Amino acid sequence: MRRMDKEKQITPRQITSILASTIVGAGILTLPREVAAAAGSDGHLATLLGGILATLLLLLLTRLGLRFPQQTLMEYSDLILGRFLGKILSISFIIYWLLLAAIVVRIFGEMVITAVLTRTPLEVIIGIMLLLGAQLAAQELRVFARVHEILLILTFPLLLLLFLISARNVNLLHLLPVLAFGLLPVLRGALATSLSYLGIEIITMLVPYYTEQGQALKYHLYGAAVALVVYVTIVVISLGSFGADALQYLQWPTLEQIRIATIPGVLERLESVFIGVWVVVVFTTVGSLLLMVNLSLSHLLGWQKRNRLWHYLLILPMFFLARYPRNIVAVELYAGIISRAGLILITAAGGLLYLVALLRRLKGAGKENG
Amino acid sequence: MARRITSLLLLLLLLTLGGCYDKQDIEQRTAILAVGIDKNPEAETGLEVTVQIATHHNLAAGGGEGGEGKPFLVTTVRGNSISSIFNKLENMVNGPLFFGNTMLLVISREVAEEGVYNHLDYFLRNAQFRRKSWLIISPGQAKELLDIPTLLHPIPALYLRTALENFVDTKAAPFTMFENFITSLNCPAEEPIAVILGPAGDKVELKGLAAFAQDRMVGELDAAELSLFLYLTRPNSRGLVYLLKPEDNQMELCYEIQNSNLKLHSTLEGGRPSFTYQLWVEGNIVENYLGPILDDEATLRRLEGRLAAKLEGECLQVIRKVQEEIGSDIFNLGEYVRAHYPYYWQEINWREEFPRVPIRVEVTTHIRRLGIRRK
Repeated sequence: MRRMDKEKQITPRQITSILASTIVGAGILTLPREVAAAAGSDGHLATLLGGILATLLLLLLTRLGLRFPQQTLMEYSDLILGRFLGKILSISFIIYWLLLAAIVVRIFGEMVITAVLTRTPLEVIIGIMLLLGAQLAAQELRVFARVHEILLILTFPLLLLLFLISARNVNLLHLLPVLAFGLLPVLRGALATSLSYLGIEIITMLVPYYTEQGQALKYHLYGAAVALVVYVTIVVISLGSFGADALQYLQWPTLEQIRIATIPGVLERLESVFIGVWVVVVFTTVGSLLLMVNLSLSHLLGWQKRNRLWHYLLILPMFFLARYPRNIVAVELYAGIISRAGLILITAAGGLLYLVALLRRLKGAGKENG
Repeated sequence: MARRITSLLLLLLLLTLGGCYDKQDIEQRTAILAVGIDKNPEAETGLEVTVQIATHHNLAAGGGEGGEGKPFLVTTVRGNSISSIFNKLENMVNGPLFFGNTMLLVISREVAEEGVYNHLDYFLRNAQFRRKSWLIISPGQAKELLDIPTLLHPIPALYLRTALENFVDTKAAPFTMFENFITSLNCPAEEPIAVILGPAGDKVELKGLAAFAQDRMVGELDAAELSLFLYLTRPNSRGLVYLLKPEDNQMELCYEIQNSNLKLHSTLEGGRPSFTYQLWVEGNIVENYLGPILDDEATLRRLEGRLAAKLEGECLQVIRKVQEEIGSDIFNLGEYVRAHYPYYWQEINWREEFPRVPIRVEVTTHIRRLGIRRK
């Protein structure tokens, strides 16, 4: 087995940032509505449960990754499942990440052109977001990690602040009843959050590059916690402001939340600020997805290094994929399908790989050098 | 070579700096300050929409020497739908319509009684239109309210908005923004309300509160009932309570509520909920006509008792009016039922139940001060 040495270049704090900003993407724009549709006024509990389930999955992926400290998912899946099945798995992941990135930029583009830039062609926004994402992914890993680190510090506090301003609109009665109809709606709601929590699989590609692998678990949990806090906050505030039923009439509940968030006479019309923050949030997600695609592709093609040009070439098919859905309803339909497929793929792949690795007593070469 | 191409590309980037080729200055847009919706007086169907447009050149000149004419323009257009009307209007003015500054949406009572949802849909889908605009009902034509000749502010829309904000500050009226209206409309357990504002000569007057059942206006409370409604729906209310002499109905004294608090208790017995409002108010005596000499604790206690009874009676009257005459749950008790008795809520049709539920009121009053005068 050819051993590829991977330069250790991602610090623990960067792990947290990368994970958090990869998870939080376009899903949050529609999360309150979707989770309320499934779980009603228990939407916040469903979001919490969804987060806990995602964290369990994250734990599994972390254990799997740490079992093969020198290898990425693509490499150890070859080892565990054999070359043929391993390749199939790699290809399915690549397809899924490409589709996910395409739908993420499309959702974002739809929001921008309905809400702010009404006369800008959709293609311009999709194109720019994809280019930005490619630009981020094409960087060296250490640069990629630093960008995430800096942007997370800039955007997330601002996001939480924006949401807290709108806390004034909350009517506590809208948050009741709690658990009146049993756990089933909460479970259904938890599944509806899957689009929002996708992205956790990025760690399977990055574990071998960590400077301190011993700390990985801890910082993964921090990253998931950041996303969880953002999600639960926005769902509580949206549910409280509009109620589960009125939320169903809002195409972009999170945006609507910002539109009604005012401190009279001081802060009004925060949409533009919000969209600015959102460009950052979405492009980091797209960048991460593209990075994963390229890391996997270069493994699949047997390259020693990622090819910079490929990052930009790959956005061409994605551009057309993102344009493909006919209208906003189709976009949501595809987003649902892709996120469900992704959830199944990650859970099945993670579970299967871990199980087979245990049964075959496979362990990665090389020790942790933390 | 690569270097040359790079520098050429960088030079090309300079082109993007000329970003102003399609600029649109604020004064080149037709800023709609207020929209009024009336029925078309000439046809069976259709609407008449009145808009107040800012005329920036007159506004900039100020009220002084420069400004010839008013800083606003009021125009009326008729048509079959809101979008066709605005389309027509856009062909009459010299810039694209802009709704980002629209402060008021006035709907005439006549239109409101037939249902407003169809007319609001355009504004709900329009991303420019702000959710923090006021939605108000005019007792007569909306047109009259938009063309009010007032000296209090050069622009009527701004006068109306600041007046409304003042009513909210003095606790005379509730916030009835577009957003609140729509959220209540879309919540099955809530009913929307809107402030009624009518012209009174060269000023406006707070006429009360319009009560809706879904999107139809079904009744109204007058200004006095509105303030009682506010005591029963939100804390920190203010307002006056008058005591009359029981013998001859002469004005005896006047008490001003400075602060209030509210607790709502409910029970679900025998398959039917009942509600008790516990209203707590504190305030001062602001005017004493023929009342007793206010210098001992016992007198004040007696007065507090009478005030409480008076307030309780008035509140019950409003509740009875809402339940029996209006029949629409503008107290949003439905939301309370949905939140606390979810199973019961699923079984019943609250719109049918609401007029029959027992609602009681218990009032506690405190007289804190007598002003800067004794006795």
